[in-house]
Amino acid sequence: MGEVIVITSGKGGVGKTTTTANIGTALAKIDKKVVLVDTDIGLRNLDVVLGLENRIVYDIVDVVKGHCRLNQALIKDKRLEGLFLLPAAQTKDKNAVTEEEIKKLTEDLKEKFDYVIMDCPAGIEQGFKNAIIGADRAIVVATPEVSSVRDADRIIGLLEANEIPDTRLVINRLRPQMVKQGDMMDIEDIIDILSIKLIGVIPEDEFIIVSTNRGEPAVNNEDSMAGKAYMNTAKRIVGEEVPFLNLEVQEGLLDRFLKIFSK
Amino acid sequence: MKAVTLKANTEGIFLIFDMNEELLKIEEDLKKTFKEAAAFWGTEKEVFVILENSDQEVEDMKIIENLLQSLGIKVKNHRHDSPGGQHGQTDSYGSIQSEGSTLLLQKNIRSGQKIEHDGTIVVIGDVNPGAEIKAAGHVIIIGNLKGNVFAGYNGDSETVIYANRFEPSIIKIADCIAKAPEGSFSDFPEPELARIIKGRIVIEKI
Repeated sequence: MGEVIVITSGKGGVGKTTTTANIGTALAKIDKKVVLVDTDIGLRNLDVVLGLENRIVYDIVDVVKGHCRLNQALIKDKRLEGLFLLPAAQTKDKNAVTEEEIKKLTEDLKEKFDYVIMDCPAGIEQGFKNAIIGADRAIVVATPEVSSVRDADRIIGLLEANEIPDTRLVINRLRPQMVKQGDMMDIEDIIDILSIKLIGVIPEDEFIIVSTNRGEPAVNNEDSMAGKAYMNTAKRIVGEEVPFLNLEVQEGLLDRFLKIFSK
Repeated sequence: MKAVTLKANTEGIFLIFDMNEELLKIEEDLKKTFKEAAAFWGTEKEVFVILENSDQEVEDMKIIENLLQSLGIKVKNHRHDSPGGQHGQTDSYGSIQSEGSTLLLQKNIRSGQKIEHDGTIVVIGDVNPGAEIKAAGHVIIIGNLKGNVFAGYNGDSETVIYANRFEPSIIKIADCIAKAPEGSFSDFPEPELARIIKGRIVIEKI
């Protein structure tokens, strides 16, 4: 029996879909059987981030309405054996499915997979309610900005109200240099406000943009810092103890020279 | 360093004069203090006076009294201890009465959550920005207060709001409302208590 994890944030644009794609890919890389479910009906993106947009025939709405069998709608990843996508419908909206239908769907998926990862839409309306209904645990994604942290706080409150037992935090797009200069909230500030356990810290990484455009999640790239951080996050999800990456900015020789001259 | 400092507590308004400064500077600072605190001042025309670093207290007192009189302010009394000290406070805090049942919450109240109760609410945890607490009685927060709190919503102006770290957006007690000051809060917060004194909300360290 697998586990359903919802990835949510409240605020848009903080990296829910990127996080879903990368954590899912990372879990599949450590030999787990994973399905990623895009619940953002009407604004589907996860298929693009995974590079699977050309393979969609049936979608989540077709499955819950019985227009096709579950296996017909599941899309197998290009690279990884154990990774599947259940895409959202693009021509419908959040009200096309009900909470009961999604709950039934997650129960069916749990039978077949180790991890069912729900990519939640932004907002706290029907789409959010659909995404969290069957969840056994939740991962809240927040960026080090007050607006994102405020929305994360709201979401954590809603998850608590819906009695989702285990909620963890991923801090995304952290810039260690800016934190060092005091221009960005640091991890402790965020934990202090949200008071939930951390499960991942993802540094800002330009490679994410490249990987999103190419449809290849960053965990597939050995050199990407964000990719490494997502891999570690996935290991923590399966219960491994992994230390957090040292994101301290390494000062090169050139930097040191420049510092001396700028004094 | 200012020669004149204004403080207020349950007993009234205190003016603290540093007698080490020159008289001209004291006069100048006093006028400035009045101007800055004009809104706070209201109809209060009586103050306590405290002299610091004074060698000739009687003479100095006369000078200060004259100075205040020229501004239309009466001197109630003068004392040597500081208004931030202990005097009087034990009585006033001892008198907080609680009616109705108490709702005890041991969790964080998060953005968008609203807690309403017809007695006193005690929160062991934080009240985050965007959260709302509304009580007919007192609101006691053993944690950080950053959200909105309304005590005494039935009009009970004897109710108080307490927090270990007092950084609310808006607080209301009975018919009075107070907004957080612009700018940031202290990095080293102390427990504080808000209550109504003479028709306005006063927040004191305890």
